[in-house]
Amino acid sequence: MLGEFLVFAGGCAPNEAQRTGMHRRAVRRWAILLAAVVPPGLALAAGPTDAAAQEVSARAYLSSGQVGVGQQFVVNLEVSGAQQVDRDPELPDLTAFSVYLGSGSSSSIQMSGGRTSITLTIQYRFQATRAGTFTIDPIGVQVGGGAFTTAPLTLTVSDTPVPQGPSAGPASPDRGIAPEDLFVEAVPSRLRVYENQPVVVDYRIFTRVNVSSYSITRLPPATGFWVEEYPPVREPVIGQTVRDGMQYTTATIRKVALFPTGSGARRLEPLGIEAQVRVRRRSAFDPFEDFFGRGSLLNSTISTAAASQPVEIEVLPLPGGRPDDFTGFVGDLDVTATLDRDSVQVSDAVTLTVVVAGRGNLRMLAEPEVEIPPGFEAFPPEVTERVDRTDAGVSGTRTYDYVLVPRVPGVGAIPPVELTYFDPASESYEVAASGALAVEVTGVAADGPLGTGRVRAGVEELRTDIRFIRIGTPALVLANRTLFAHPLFWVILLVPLATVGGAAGLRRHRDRLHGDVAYARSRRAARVARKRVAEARKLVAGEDVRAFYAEAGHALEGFLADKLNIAAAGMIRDEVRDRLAARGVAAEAADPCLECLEECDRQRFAPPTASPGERARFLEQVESAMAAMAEHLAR
Amino acid sequence: MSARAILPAVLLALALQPVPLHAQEELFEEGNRLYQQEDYQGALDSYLSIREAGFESPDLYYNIGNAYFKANELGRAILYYERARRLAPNDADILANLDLARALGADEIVPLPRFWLFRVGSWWMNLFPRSLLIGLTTAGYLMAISALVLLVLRLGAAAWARRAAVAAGIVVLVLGTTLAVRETGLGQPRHAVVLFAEVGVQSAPSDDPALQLFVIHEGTRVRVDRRSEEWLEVVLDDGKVGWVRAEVLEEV
Repeated sequence: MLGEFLVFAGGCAPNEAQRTGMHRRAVRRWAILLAAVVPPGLALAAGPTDAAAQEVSARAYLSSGQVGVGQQFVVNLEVSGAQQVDRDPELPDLTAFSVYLGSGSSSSIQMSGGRTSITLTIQYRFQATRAGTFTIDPIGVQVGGGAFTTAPLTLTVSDTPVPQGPSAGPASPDRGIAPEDLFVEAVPSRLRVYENQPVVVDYRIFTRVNVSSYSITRLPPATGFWVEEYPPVREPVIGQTVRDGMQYTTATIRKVALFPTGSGARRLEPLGIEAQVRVRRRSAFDPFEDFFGRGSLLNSTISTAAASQPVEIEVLPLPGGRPDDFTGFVGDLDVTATLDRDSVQVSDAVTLTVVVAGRGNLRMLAEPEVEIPPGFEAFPPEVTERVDRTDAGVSGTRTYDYVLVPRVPGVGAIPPVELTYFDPASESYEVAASGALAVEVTGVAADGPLGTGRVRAGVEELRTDIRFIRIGTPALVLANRTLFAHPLFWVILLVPLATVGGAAGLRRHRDRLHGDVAYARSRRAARVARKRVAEARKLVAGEDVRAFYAEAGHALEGFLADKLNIAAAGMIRDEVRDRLAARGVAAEAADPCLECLEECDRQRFAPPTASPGERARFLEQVESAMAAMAEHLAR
Repeated sequence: MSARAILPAVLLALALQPVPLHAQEELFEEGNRLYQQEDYQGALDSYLSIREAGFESPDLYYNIGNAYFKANELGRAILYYERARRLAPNDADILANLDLARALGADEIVPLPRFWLFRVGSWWMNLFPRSLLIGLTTAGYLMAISALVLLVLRLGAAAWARRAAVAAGIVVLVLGTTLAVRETGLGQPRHAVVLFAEVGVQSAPSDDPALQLFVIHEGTRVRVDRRSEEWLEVVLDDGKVGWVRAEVLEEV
């Protein structure tokens, strides 16, 4: 059994997904078509075990070794023995002479005599851009766990178009579109510009065939340019142009203004498109064609790719002698400044409007320096911008609205606003300036900061840190010592308590003195007795012996009477003795007192013979007797 | 009795008062000088020698905390701020630096809400600095005693003396109880600060890695509940409980 059929797999592009999107859609259509045709059983027969037996190999070939400039060529990478590659193959850099257009892949399974062979073919389509003979470097591919490298290829690109046969490649069985039938051209507005002077580049499509739709597959990188893109055109304006004796339909597909950011030679890279072209199928037998003409049912759409030629642009540096305040703007500039009124009250707002209009890259123009007169508070301006993109270039206006609030009366003068720019038409530096303005401020000065233009704000914390150390004398105390271990604590605790105790004792003593006669007399006895003894001592050396003994006797009698709480007059000796015994005073303690009393009585009535020495001795006896008595009574 | 007894007692107290304070104050000033010259290690040496001599003060602990903070020892900085706070619970500088240091710690622990009575209690306990509390209690005590003496001796207006005695007595009772509780540390939790960069907390006093419950980091404050040989049972502010080795912590 022998069968051969093609199975188209999904597209496989090395880098850009967008590029392959359309191709993948086209391939899927084919795959659906074929899936309907192929009997399911056959597809199942191509098992992976059979494929594993097949030896894996890879080779590269060109669909045709010779193409003309602007024509397409296809690099085919054929891998036998595998249905997919492990990694996207690495393509050599062909940008020196070609533009990458897209890629696709197909795989085929062939069964012959019980042997199955699988072939995967990846096609890379390029458009040749330069004439000459070029070598395409080997392609590295990883498949089935091994790495393979193909042989180098040789491609000849000629200036004249090379007719391409219908066998251009297995993936496009239909006849391709000739490059002169459909091409893209980049038209710059000028080829020599100054830095920052715009170049308007118009990408136009030229076609002699029926293009139903197109899409941009490759956007050139704008290295070294600031790009201002014109809004994309929904419905391209269709024009008719005659070129090389042939009539073309033309349309602008993209328009950009490019501002070179530095001087030197710049190269505009090509723009690639993919177009859907309606063609009639060249079939040997098409019965409908004669009847329905172009509207035949067998009309079909094929996709074709095209790319513009690169363009060289020379960027001139700005001439010397550039002023210090040069803004960097190149083009044409006009500045106007207006105030919304001439006179204003203090604290009322006045609006200063600065309008910068011109042709050139207004977006890169910095805010003009407006000198705010002192005494005015200024707020950051409100900026509005309008940019017009015309065929002549980019122009627009920028409006700055400053709100000024005067704080002091007087005349506020606003000097002219100046912007220095380079005019490429006159090739000289120019200054655009507004007129000077003045506003009269009436009223009285407002409170608050004057003329500083400051705006109040909260205190901003720049960083956080710990607070600073304590500098003063530290109140050092012994560590780990509780209050109870401190001697002063006990002093302060106990001394007042003792004071209270003392006060209580004092109070009790006084109370007894007041209420207890016996206690009071007893407490008074010693004092009274001492007074009488002192009186008696005055009489020791005197003449009156009887008076001395009378005084000493009174002292002793009074003392005993007070102590025993009895009347001193008419004191009977026996009663005294009994009372003393009752108070527990022993007889030997009581006797000296009583003896002294008797001695007193005897001397008072006996002849006064006692010498002063005797009297002094006697007084000592009385005192010691009283002391002994007081001691015994206190026990 | 009184005048003759008070004088020797006061003299005794003065004699027992530590005398070499002057040298310690010079060390403190030396530490401050080194701190301002950004020699934090030198400043620490000066400050810590005061501490080793047996003296303490909230200012000393606060400066030690600052020096440790500047020397990038977060755990010890927090430890000394906590010690300073123990002596001066409501000092704004101490609280500010403690908050900042805690914010740099690795553990963010949300404390459990406490019963309001305990919150009020701890608020009251920490309301007065120690010296103020001692001063107020002493003043109240002396006033109460004076009023009592006047009452006993029936000097002056008895009504006023009685009122003064009652008022001062209440003050002494309340403040004295507070002071006694604070001095004895009765019922107050013991806290400790983690000094190691990372500490695994075990479910039992054992080094078995299978028993590890969670990990706490340098500077985290824990409550110490129990002790078992070289192990401490700690409670985090959010209620997590576990055991750590004693040497990774230092008590406030």
